[in-house]
Formats: sequence, C-alpha cells, structure tokens
Amino acid sequence: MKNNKIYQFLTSIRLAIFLLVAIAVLCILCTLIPQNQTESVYIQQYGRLGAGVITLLGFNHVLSSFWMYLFGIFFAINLSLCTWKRFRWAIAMSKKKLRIDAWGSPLLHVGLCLILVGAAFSLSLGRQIYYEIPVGKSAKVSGTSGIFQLQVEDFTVEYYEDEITPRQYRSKIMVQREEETALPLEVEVNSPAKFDGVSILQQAYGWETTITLSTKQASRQVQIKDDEWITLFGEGEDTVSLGIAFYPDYAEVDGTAQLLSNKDNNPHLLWVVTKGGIPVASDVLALGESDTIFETLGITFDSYCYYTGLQIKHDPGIPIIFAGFFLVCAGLLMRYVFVKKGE
Amino acid sequence: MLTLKDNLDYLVFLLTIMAAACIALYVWLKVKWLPKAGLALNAAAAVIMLIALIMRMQETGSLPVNSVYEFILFFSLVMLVFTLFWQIKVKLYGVAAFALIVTSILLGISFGLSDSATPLMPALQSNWRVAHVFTAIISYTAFAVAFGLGISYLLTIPAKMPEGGLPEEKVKRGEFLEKMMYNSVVTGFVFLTLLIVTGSIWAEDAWGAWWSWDPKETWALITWIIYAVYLHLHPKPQWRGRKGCYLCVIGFACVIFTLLGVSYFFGGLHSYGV
Repeated sequence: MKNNKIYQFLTSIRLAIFLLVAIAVLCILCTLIPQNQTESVYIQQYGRLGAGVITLLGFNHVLSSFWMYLFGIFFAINLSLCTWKRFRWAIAMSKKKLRIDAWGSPLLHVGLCLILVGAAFSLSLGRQIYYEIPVGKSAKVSGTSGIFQLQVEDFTVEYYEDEITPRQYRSKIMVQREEETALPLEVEVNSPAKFDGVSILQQAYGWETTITLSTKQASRQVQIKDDEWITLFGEGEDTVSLGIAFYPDYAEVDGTAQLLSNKDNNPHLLWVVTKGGIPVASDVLALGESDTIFETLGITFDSYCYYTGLQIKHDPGIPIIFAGFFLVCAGLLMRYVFVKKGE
Repeated sequence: MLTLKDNLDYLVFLLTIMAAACIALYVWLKVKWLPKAGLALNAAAAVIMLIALIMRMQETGSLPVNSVYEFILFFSLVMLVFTLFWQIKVKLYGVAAFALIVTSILLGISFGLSDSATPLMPALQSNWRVAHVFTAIISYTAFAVAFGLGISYLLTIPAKMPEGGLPEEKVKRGEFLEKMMYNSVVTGFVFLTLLIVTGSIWAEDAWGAWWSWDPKETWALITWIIYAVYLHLHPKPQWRGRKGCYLCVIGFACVIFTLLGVSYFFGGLHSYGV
C-alpha cells in the first residue's frame, strides 16, 4: 500500500496544505459575499455578470456548495489516513522507550477526526426547536424517549441599577413524562438544563398581553405579544391590522409614550390600527381600560405576563465533538510541551 | 471634556510611540543611551496602562475585557510587559520596536472605538469568558511577536545570497530569529486552539450552537488554518526563512482582521461595544 500512488497522494502533506488553503479561501468568500440572498441582491451588488458567476459557482451558499463538500470529503480522507500514518510512526518510535511527544500529533489528529465525525452526527441527527411559552402555560416537547410536558412555573429578570438593562433571566420549569412525577428545573442564560436527552436553553423573553376584542354580536380574547401585529379583517390593501407595544413602566412625556423601566410598575398598552399599512387610529390603555375602534370594535386590556423563549436541542454529536476538543488540546500539549530539547 | 481615564490612555499612547522611536533609532544609529530611554518609557507606559485598567475595573466592577476597546487596552498591557522582557532578557531590540509600533497602532485605533462601560449582557455572564479572553490575549501576543520576528528577519537577512555566502553572524542571527518565530507560533497556535475550544464550549451553553459560522468564528478558523499550514511546512527546508516569515505576516494580518476588521465590516454575534 505504501507504494500505491493514490495512497501516497491522499496521505501527502501537499494535499493537506492544498485542502487547508482551499477551505480557508472558501471561508473568506463565505464572509465577503452575502450568503443565501435572492438573485436580485447579487445583481444589485455585483452586476448581472458577477451575480451569474457567483450563483453558477455556488458562492451564494458557500457552506453547502459543491466545493465545500468536495474539499471537505477529501480533507476528511486525508486527515483520517494521515492520522493512521502518524499512529504507526508513534508506535514505531515508542518501541524501545515510550515517547510522550511522539503521541501528541496522532492524538491531535484523532481529535480533529472526532470533531468532523461529531459535526456530521450533529448535521444529520441533531434537531432543535424554539418555543415561546407564557408563564403558567405549557408545551409538549419531544425528548429522546417520547413526548414530555414542559410547564413554565415562573420567569424572573434581574436588572442592573438602570432597571432597563437585563443582568440575567431565568425560567422555573416543571418537566413531566407520562405517568411519572414532575421534575422541577431551573434554566438561565449560560446554564441550560438537561432532561430526557435534550438540552433546554434560555434564549429570549418578552411580554405577552391578553386583550378582548368585542363587537355588538360577540367578543373574543386574544393573546398578543409586545411588538406583534394581528389581522383584524379585510384583505389586500383593505387589510385592517392591530399592533401593540407593551410599556411595563409607562409615562407620558410631552404627549409621547416613554418607558421608565422594564419593571411592571405602571403597565400600559399602546395599540395602533392600520388600514393598508397606514396608521388610522391609536391610543394607550391602562390595565382593565377599554377603547372603541371604528365605533364598532371594542378593545380591552385584560392582563399581561412574561413569556420565556426556550430552545430545545437534541444533538448526539456534542459528546463526540467535546471528546475531540479534549484530544486536540491534550495532543497539542504532548506534541509541543513535552518535546525533547534540541528536537 | 477628557476624563482622567482618557488622559491616561493618551499618555500611554504617547509613551509607547516614544519608546518605539527610541528603540528603533537605537537599532538604526546605535546611540548608547537610547535603549535605556526606550526601556524607561516602555516601563512607564506599562505602569500607567495598569493603573488605567485598574481604574476602569473599579468603574465597571468587572475585569476590563467586555468590549473590543477594553480588549485592546488589556492586550496592549500584555504587549508592553512582553516588550520589556524582550529588551531586558533577549535583547532583540528590533522585535521590541515592531511590537511597540503594533501596540501604538492598536492604541490609536482604540480611540475610535466606543469606550462606554456598558454592563455585561446575560450571554457574557460566564466563567468561560475569562478563559476565552485570556487565551485570546496570550495567543495574539505570541502571534504579534512572531510577526515582529518575521519582519525583523525580512529586513535584516538578505533575500539573495551574496557571493561567498552569508557572513556567519547573519546565518546565526537568521537561525535564531527563525527558532524564536517558530516557538512564538507554537505558543500562539496552542492558545488559539484553546481560544476556539473554550469559545465553542461556551457557545454551546449560551447559544445552543458550538459553531455558528459567525464571521468572528470563521476568521478565527482561517487564522488557525494559516498557522497550521506554517507548522506543517516548517519541517521542509524550502519553507524555512523568508517564506515562513511571509506566512507569519499573513497570519498576523488575519489576527488583526479577526480582532478589528470583522467587528467593523461584518458585525455578528461577537460584536460587543464597537
């Protein structure tokens, strides 16, 4: 096999260098050229010819382009074979006496292989779903052994002295599989919880308000988030939409709404109604207050609460990737720190 | 109105430029008192930078590594300490001059960045932050030294071999610079790897993604690849000398672009206080 030309080519440093440089060039293109945009964006930025070349070569989606797959596959082959070669070399070097530094390079390359394998597992078997769940509500979440219930018991935000900037936010949740006792968990930014093979990460939060929309004939309660829009009625240019902005600590300064802090000291709701995208009516409501829109539609501000943004992630590649990280670091230390003087 | 802190930053900037000028002039003119003056100015700049950072730490209540501006100040302090060591122990004044020039350029750039002490956002409240930033500082310092050594090599060792070969003194100097450059790259590469690893583990906890192809991550990977190429080519004799120096210069250009250019041109998840 040693004399096989294909084997020699695939295990050559020359190929490794070429592939590393090629991948680096693709990475540079990935940051310089806007990715996954519509054709018109490329035409506007690079002209018709430039846009044609970019889309033809797949540089508008570099990470999933033919080139990335081609160089990636060859890199994986080259890395695996080189790792095997280095192992054999380390065994040969350690036959008479164990040399720690000789094992550094093979371990480092095994680590890199593991990172690639882990990344492949993540891409093919990993999944993540983002949920926005109001306090007191629950969601059905898919774990590795089936569906479980995730109930949000409480949500709190710690603020800095300005009472505007969040320092930390956390959710108190209860998770329960069917016919099992509920398990309380706490999730905050940088401290995910784990349950049934999935990670539960604190990602975002916001306010959700409950309003009642009523006509002479009927009324209905609607949950609407801060800065969210809903369609009331109509189609096309005649669409009438309702949008709200929630002010947990409201004040009116010179006729305009002001946010004093993010604590719910004086909760108010600013509603805006648009027709065909043009604002036609707006007002501010305190908790429990009502307004009338177009003389026929009533709006009442009933209640408000936090919602928590949780990301549920299952990634079987992570343990492999982290094992790869460990081996890379250990290999580097063995390769360069324990090296004998004069070598 | 300039605050005391601002004045200290400007003072460090001026002292660093003056130290760089003294040492560069010594390399050129060999005037005896210049290295002592350069050393004194360098030491003064380091002490004042330390005071400025302590004052900043008192102001913000956390280690001053929360924004690119603070990172540059901290990085400059490490560079100033390192150049002191470089002058006292190794006595390679040319490299110290280049490191001081790089430091003063970075300090100059920092004046254009936002210096507001914004409170730490929740995603940054992690013990991984300290490890991530410190590995970055050590790695970048080592690469800056490798860059200085590379430039020093390119300027002092002729590209074309003169008739009769290089004088022995030049050959020895070239070999010394080469060895120091390799050691600096190894140090930088080990810490750059740790930087990427600590960042990935942290990102998995904070964002739920150990790798997001964020521009900063992508450019850190590009930098890692360039130095990996250097280390793979180093054993080959034809890649010793000037070619290796060019790789170190390109590598350091990537380091600076990762630190400043990415935040300025692309934004992304890592753009704090630019």
